Amino acid sequence: MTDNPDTYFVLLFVAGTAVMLLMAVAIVLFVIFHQKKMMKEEVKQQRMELDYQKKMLKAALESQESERKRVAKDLHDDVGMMLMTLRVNLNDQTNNGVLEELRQLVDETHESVRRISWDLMPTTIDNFGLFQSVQEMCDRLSRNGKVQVTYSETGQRQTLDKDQELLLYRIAQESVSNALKHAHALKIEVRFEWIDDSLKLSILDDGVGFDFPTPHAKIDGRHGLGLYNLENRVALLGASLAFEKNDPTGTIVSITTPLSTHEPH
Amino acid sequence: MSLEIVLLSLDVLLWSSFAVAILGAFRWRNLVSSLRIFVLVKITSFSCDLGSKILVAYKITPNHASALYQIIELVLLLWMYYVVFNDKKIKLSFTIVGSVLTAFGIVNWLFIQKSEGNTYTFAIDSFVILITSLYYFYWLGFRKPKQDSQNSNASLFWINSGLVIYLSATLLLLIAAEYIINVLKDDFIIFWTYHNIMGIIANLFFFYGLWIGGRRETIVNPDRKL
Repeated sequence: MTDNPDTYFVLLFVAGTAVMLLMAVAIVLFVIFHQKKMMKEEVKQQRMELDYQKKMLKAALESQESERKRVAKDLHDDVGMMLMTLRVNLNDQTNNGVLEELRQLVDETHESVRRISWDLMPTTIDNFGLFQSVQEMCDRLSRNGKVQVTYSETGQRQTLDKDQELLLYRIAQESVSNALKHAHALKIEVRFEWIDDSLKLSILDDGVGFDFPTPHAKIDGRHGLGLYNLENRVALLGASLAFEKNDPTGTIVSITTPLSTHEPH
Repeated sequence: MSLEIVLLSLDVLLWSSFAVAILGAFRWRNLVSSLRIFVLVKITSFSCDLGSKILVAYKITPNHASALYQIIELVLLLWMYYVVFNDKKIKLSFTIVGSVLTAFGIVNWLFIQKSEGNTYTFAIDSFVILITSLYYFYWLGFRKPKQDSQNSNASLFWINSGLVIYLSATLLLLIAAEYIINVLKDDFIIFWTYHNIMGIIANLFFFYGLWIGGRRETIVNPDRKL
């Protein structure tokens, strides 16, 4: 190597530039890895928060179901029994116009109590399962002749656990109730379809339809309570929820539940 | 190394700047404010480089175009980083530094180095931008990543990386430029080719940054509107 000061300068310059360039590349790589690590931690934390929220939601819904069960039992066993006793006593009395009216009133009250009790917690869901309960619900709603609620099931039926059945029942109940109350539907179809590893529940109506929920409405909290409950239950099932316009009028609400995990989320 | 190589690298640098500026212009609507300011930097860069070529064609020294570009670039980049940091405390320091350096750049251009390559301005401005871009990494490192602004953050990250690599690689060259030309009497061809190659590499980073920054149709804009 020559002792020329120019050569020293060039060497110093090249070394200095190389060091600076290497440091710059090292900094960029460090920031990339650091950001990735932070992002992973952020996702992990979000997942934990989501899990916690789901657990809280599940606990809230379970508590609601248990309260419903208790109220339904009290109505059926206590109030229903008392009304039945009253009816029997009235039968023993001399028959006149006033008593006949009273009997009719007691019968109607008894029927109302039974209906409320059934709505709160249908006994069939515990005894005969989801599909029988939904079928019963459809038959019961069609009985008054004002609306026609039909039930259908296609595909090879698979086993669902009790939590899933109850959540799906409530979803069907809420959707049918929405179609009757808000869409003023006259024809409703509740359809269960077993497709490979998933169960699709569709509620089709011929009502006036409604404005589908937008992400903004979700953020602003402009959801109705019914829709909010529906979404919460769908989330707990780990299912997907879709709204479509029915042809020619009305709405199709579809809930697709994966069957790979039997435990609801 | 011949003059042709320098001119070729200069042409590639010019057209790579053009590609970045065109991409930014096409995706202008999808870009956040900070990225739009960066697109203005690249449009200015291309215009000044093209201006240099025109000046050379008319046998006028092209250094006027680069001196003007350096002054505009500093102001725009400081503005871009101000928008990114969105911190009122930084506003004062950026305003003071920006004003002082702009004044120095104009004085240097008009009275000190005049039509010579304004290497003093280049060196000082590059040092300030390098420090700011390193501060951006520091700021990014302690900032919670947000899903909504992930796209624009990633875009700015690559643009900032391009700036850090380019400025780190060329800062010593800019500082020593006066010495190399006037004392060593070097024709600067190798150094200038190296500078151009680093500029092309930086443009690749900028292109990728703007590509991912304007990819989505709808983007949550975390910055103020430009």
